[in-house]
Amino acid sequence: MNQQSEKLRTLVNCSIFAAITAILAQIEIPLPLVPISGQTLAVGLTATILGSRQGAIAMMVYAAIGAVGVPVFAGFKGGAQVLVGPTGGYIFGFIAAAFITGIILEKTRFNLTMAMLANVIGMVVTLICGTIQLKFIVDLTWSESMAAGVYPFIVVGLIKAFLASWIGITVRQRLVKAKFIKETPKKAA
Amino acid sequence: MSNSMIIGQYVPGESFVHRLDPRSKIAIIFFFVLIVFFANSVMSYGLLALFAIGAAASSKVPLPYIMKGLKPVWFLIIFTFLLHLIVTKEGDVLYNLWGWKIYEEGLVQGAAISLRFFLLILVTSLLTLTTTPIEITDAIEELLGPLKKIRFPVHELALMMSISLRFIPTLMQETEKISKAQASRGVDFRTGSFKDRIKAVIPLLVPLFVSAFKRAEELAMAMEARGYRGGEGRTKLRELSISKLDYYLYALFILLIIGLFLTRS
Repeated sequence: MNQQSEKLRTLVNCSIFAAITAILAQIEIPLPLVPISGQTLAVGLTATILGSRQGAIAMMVYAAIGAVGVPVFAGFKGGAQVLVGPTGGYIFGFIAAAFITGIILEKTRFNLTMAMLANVIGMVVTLICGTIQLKFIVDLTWSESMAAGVYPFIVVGLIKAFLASWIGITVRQRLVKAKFIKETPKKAA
Repeated sequence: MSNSMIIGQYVPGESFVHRLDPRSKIAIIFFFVLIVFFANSVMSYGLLALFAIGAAASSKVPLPYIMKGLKPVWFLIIFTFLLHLIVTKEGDVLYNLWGWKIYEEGLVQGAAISLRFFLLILVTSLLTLTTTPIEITDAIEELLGPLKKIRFPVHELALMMSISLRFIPTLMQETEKISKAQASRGVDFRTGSFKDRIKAVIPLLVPLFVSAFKRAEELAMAMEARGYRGGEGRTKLRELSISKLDYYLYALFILLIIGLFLTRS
């Protein structure tokens, strides 16, 4: 019974974080030069707060509700056509990125330095997934797809990774203090 | 804003395409996406285009809605076309524009790939235009049913999608409320230095996550109180059923596949 109840809580938590990701993806923080969308930020936040497993599940649910036509992706896009389209790889990349970001933090410690490292690696993973799909859908060569899908996003990506880790760690500390999450997430059932 | 979000791109209607079982629609689209890659002649592309455009026309979805679904990819369709036009240097030179040559192969390849692209997007967006998100979720649960045998949590996935859909409008209102409440306390992330703006985001996010955790706990407790114990033996509020229309669609699609393989070169 206890295990069942633990499982149900994991399930509900992941769904609600998928919903939060959907909402944050529509919000833009108007920074000078690079307005950042909440989408990438939400991936880092989810991974930092929920950890690897639940974070990845939340991202899968996010991709799935996007696939059934709810406009949850950045800029109110939605539908299966986004996932099979040229930029769909980035969405799949979020699942991998959330998992990897989470696992790095779990294996080390939840502090700013590790979060930065984890988020940068997460960003690289997202870009790699995105570029692979871009290459095959648009039928480009590797160097062309790198030019279209990786290089323009490196600097912005680093800024975003830095923000995601800074905000993520701060929010996490507050939530731990308020006893909504445990200091180190134990393995969820 | 929250309303448009939850309905998604669904355009209500009573057409042939609307009345098809969502499971049939998903299955047909899946196979369509696969067979698009087999087309290699003008005739075979023509057949696929005929099917896709015919489906779009019979759905009676107003053209502006269909175009809206295509909007994010228009740019890419054109970009792909131009890219192949410029990069490919095979076949005869068709046209010479101040030393910039357009080759036959480039034109053919560019046209074929952007058409393929257009067809994929058109057909997949038709699904979400004629089917509500909840219907699609139910259909996915049924279609993936066999995966339960290998312990893939199909029921859980569908349940999570439903919960998520249910909570998007609620949490959206919550977000709006929090940002207004914090703005009235002087939180402002539109002006100030870089650091100040980022710092202003935190008092928005913390209450949002706190309320999300609270809601999750409440929901889990309510579900337990009502005796939720996983997918085993659960009955459904909405039942899906295959009708005559679906068999017509299957027949039509089989004809399309036969036609495609006859017209391939």
